[in-house]
Amino acid sequence: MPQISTAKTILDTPEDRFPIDISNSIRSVRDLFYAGAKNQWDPRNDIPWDQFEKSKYTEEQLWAARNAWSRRAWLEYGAISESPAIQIRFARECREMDLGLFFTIRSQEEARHAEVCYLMAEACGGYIEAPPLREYEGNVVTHGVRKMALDPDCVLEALIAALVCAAEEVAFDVFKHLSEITTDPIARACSRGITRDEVRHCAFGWYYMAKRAPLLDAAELKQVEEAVAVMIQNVEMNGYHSSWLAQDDTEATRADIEWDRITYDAGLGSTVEEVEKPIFIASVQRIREQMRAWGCELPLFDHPRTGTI
Amino acid sequence: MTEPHTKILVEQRFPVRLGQQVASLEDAYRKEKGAHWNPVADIPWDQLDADSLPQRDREAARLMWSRRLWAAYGYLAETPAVLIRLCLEFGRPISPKFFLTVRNTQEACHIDVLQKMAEAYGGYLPKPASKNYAAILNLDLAQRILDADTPIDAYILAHCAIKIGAEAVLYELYGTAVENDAISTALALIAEDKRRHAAFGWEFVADRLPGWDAADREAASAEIVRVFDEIILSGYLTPFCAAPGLADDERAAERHAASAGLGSAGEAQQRQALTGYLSEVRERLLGMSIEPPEFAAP
Repeated sequence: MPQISTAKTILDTPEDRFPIDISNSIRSVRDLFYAGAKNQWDPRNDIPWDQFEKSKYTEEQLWAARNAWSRRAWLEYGAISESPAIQIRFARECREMDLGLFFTIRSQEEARHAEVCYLMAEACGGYIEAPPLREYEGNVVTHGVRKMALDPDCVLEALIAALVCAAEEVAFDVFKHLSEITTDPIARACSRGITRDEVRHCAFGWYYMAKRAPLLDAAELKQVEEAVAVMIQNVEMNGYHSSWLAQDDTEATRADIEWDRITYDAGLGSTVEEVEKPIFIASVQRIREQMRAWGCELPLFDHPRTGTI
Repeated sequence: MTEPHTKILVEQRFPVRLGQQVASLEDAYRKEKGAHWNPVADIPWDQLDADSLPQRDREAARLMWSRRLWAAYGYLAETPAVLIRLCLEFGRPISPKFFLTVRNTQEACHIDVLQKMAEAYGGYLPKPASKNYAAILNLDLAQRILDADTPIDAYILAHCAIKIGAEAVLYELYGTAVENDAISTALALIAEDKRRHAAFGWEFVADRLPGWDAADREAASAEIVRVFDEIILSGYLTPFCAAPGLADDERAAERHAASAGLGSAGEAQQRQALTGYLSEVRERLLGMSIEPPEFAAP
């Protein structure tokens, strides 16, 4: 029998969509929607898959890359399974219509990213549907965004700050970094395609929060701070995007880190602790600095591999 | 009294199946990706020439396009809800989920176009004059979709195939007597999107149908009755179907816009088109051993 949640949600009060006010527009967000609609690409047609030189790589390298790209596909799938709940939240709260419009193309882009990661794993020998070692599932299964989006007690701005201005900012830096260090042209094209879309995703969050943050009271800003801190400390610093940040010393995590190293050495689209660490630290520092403009002060974050950030 | 809480399925994420499982749905997704258009660049807005029209035409057109936006707005929550529900249902294939993400972008483009039209004719109107008509439009579909008690296959048949099919018929009809290139292009783009969206709904159900039992067919029938009564024949899609007194202003605006060639159709034509469409739907349902609802011509 499937499990059922009966937690209180925003769906428990009836829809009241009127007035549908478009006067309170965020022009910069609408422009991001137009840019996304204009710059569409298709993972199946716009990556030259037939030029992938599989024979250049060893079985071990291909196995490692299959794991790396499959893992990334699971994360992108999470974005289509969870983040669309934010659109329902926008509509329920009669927020600026630009937000809902932009999020449609964002969800489509997340689907595109899941597809391109899947195709890259397939090119390397076959997509893997679940972590080979099940104990690793916990690190990548969810960032809790759907639950937050449907929770009437969670301030929407806290959710956007945590998901977009923190998690997506980290994701953007990861893909930008991968675009720079990946030597295989097909794997690099996949990373670049994702990076181009992620630029808009991040911009959305900062544009929106620039408008909303001045309107939040102290308690709401505190919620923003806490949600971002949880996302960084409990999700990102637990290996959500980068396996070397996972804090459980299990066989599954050790294997994942090793596969990333082999993929990195092959230039097939992964990174390793010593290369990515300064980038991750800079990401967190930049996020903290940018959020100060909203009146938020993020706490220091501790991790055995990064020290205190 | 405690509020009733929506019962939502708990996701079992793994295995995440991303490979092709249903060829017809994969094909629908591929076509969908290739059909993208841009609401800024792909409509000749400079040919709309709304300012040159008499005031009465402009008033009718602004209300007509605003009303269409009120209905289209529902998709900003409905489509993500269907997508999430499919993700919560264990073992569903990936193509419909991917498809819905593309569909929703196109629905956003429709909303953007409807807004631009309303603004061009004198300004978008944010709500209906009648609270009762507003109540017809507040369907709360996201709640129903995410409620685990709602049979999602039945929902997709009734809403994604039949309801959207009715929209396709209407948008196509609206474009038949329009000479203005901006309006006809906009209506044609929307109608074409809706046709593909509806076709996807039928493909989805065709894949599920072999596994349906009598209870599933009964659930489908019930959901279709609901769509007929609450949406297609309620005035949600077109105000001429609304009960007298409910959407009179909107109905008059459509009538006037039809006579002025501004992107609507006469009521007799709409009645004929909808009746023909619903008769086709009934035949199709009978072929699927689903009891089709009786309906009076709108």
